[in-house]
Amino acid sequence: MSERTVKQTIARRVARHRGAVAGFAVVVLLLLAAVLAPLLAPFDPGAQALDSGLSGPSRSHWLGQDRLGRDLLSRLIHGARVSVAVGLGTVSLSLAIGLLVGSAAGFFAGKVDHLFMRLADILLAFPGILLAIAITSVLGPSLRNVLIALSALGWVGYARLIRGQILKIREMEFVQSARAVGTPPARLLRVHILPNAISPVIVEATFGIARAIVAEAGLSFLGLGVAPPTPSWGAMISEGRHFLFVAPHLTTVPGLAIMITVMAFNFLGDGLRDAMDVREGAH
Amino acid sequence: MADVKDRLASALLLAAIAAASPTGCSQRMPADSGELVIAFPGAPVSIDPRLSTDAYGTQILQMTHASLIRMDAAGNPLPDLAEGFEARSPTEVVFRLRDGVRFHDGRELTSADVRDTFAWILNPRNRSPHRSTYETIREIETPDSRTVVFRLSEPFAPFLAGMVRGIVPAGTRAAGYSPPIGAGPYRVDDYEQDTAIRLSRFEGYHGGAARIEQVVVKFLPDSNVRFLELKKGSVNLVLNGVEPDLIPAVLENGNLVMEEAPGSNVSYLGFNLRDPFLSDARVRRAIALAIDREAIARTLWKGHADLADSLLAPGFWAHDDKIPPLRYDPAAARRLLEAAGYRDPDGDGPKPRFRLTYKTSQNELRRRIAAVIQEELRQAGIAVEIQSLEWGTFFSDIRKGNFQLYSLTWVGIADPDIYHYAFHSGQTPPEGANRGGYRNPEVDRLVTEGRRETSREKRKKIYGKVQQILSRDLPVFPLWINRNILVRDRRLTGFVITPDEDYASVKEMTFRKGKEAGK
Repeated sequence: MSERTVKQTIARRVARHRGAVAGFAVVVLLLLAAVLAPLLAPFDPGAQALDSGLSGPSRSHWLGQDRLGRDLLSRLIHGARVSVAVGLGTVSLSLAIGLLVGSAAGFFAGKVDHLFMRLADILLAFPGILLAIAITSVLGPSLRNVLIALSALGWVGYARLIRGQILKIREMEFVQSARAVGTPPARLLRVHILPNAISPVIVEATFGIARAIVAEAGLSFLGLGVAPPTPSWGAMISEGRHFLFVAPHLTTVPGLAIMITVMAFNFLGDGLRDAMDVREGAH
Repeated sequence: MADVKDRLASALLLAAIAAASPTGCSQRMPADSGELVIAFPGAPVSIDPRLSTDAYGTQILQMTHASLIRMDAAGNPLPDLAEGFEARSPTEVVFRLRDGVRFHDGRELTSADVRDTFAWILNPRNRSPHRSTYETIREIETPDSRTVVFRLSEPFAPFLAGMVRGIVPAGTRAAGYSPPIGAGPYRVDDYEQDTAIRLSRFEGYHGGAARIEQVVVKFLPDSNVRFLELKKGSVNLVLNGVEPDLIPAVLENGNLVMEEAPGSNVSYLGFNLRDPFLSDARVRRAIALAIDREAIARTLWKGHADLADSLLAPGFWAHDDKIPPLRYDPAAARRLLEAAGYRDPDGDGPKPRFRLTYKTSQNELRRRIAAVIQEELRQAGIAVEIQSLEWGTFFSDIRKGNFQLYSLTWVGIADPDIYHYAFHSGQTPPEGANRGGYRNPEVDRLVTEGRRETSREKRKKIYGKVQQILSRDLPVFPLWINRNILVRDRRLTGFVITPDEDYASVKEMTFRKGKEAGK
């Protein structure tokens, strides 16, 4: 199969997966909202109107106003930026580290493998969110620090996945042949091994974005996410939770936004996994 | 000489008032068998009177421990264990204990217990955070079982305020978190750390047994849980634990009523005077003028807050009533900043005159207030970055002077000597609380004079001057004083809301029998 047909096959399979299509549509909307937030939002997300705080949905404020009278819809749209930035940023950073470490461990095996994998084991012994809380508590709340905190453990999964793939692929005949004709190790890894190891990583990364968005919401809920007044969905839930009984929309709206986004990424991930499944392709 | 006589006379007068006060001979009323459930918005750190510094611990101790004297709302002493006291000289005070006062285990409370309580605090090995309060005590003498004589190394006016300290039996060790025995109206039956404390009436209480038999204090940090428990009826008294926005919703339960009274805890905005921007008094004044405190009090506090003009509440005896008010005036704020040389580079555009960092705790309401102040200062051309930090980190940063702007609340000011602790140039951290590094020789002189002076009238004049100077220099900007809001079961009577959130009146409470009682 040429590369072109592989991509086409995957695209065709994803298109048949209803959940994946719906997920993909939501992800596109989310990306659009994040990129075009200043154009889409009806109000400045930081503009306060203290006296109309906690107002419910109205003609001018479709989703109502928070305690400080800020427009909830505008904050929701701008909040998508943080979610997207954290989701993509964390996964990119984790993937970069995971790719390096996993490739080195899988390709060189032996002591290098042993060293990296024991390091991974040690890191896996930490409860993820607790480590993230500890890191953001020390570094202070900001977008950059959230990325650092979530990637500090995020890379381990990718590293293990890639290592496993490489260990399997490096023993395959086409790799052995390439090695036999004297292909240098770097080229062997880049051209022959990695492209064949990447499918499960892409699937994992899609789920990883969803996990990062939930983790960011959790950190923001605890006041350890991005610094105010930047709107973040987790922080919006946290700000609204004191008014659950008088203004439930303050928590349910950002809560639904997180749920739908995470579901979308998970559906897309499911679709990709089914589409890229090597075993299925072998039939 | 006249001075000494004046001081002595006023001290004797106080003692006489104290002795004449009716609490000493309270009549026994028919006892109530009900159970009172109180909710606190947090859990105490310690409930040992010799160690406790937190508000929740202090409030439990007001129900379980008795002290030599108590203070009324205006800061006047009332008798408790002592039936009276006498200042024989500015450095010698004699307390006379009531006859037949007993601890919860039946032991008699004697002068030796009083001496031992203070000696324990003064022993550096015990590391009591209250030690500095009593450092002027040179000697404690107990000529007989009912007389305690305190001799001071120098005249120290705040001495009496320090006598509001629960007395524990001699020889009591600090036993971790378990509360020591006291002589207050309630004894501790069960203490589950961070969850609840269960108290029962002490029949032998010297002021007459309390009327409600059982008191349970639940520690409920979540405002939604407090709200639900109140509505459900499983909590029947909450003082300052219902979000101002939720009060109307909580009162939908017809069994609940709300009472409101002035408070004394002053929230303020702290400035770091070592900072190049904030060292300029014009910049500090501009910041003060740019903050619309009235709007915050009206909306975020729903009107349950009064604007502050000093660290002392208006009802407190040393408060100066002639401090010029500082009203919201954003135009004046901008003019002051211009005059100070901080031009706005692009008018209403996004570029600020300069940037500041504002530190606050993670309390949601505090963060909300921070967001409002951030927005108001942005309009004046000052960019503010909010750092909302975990309490331990936040408070340690503030105590070290590591901040530009911060906001905190002074709790439990019992004596104007707080001005020495917070503004004397020698009281910079770590020893003192002059966290912003304020220096003014005139204030140094006045606050030193104020703690040596024992005539209340003269002290009032001294601290009046201090408050005037501080309102001009603005080393801190007093924001507001929250009103105390009590939500209670309508059958409950007898709780007296004091400015400092005292729970001593729980012993006077009762469930009123009536038609509501059957609900």
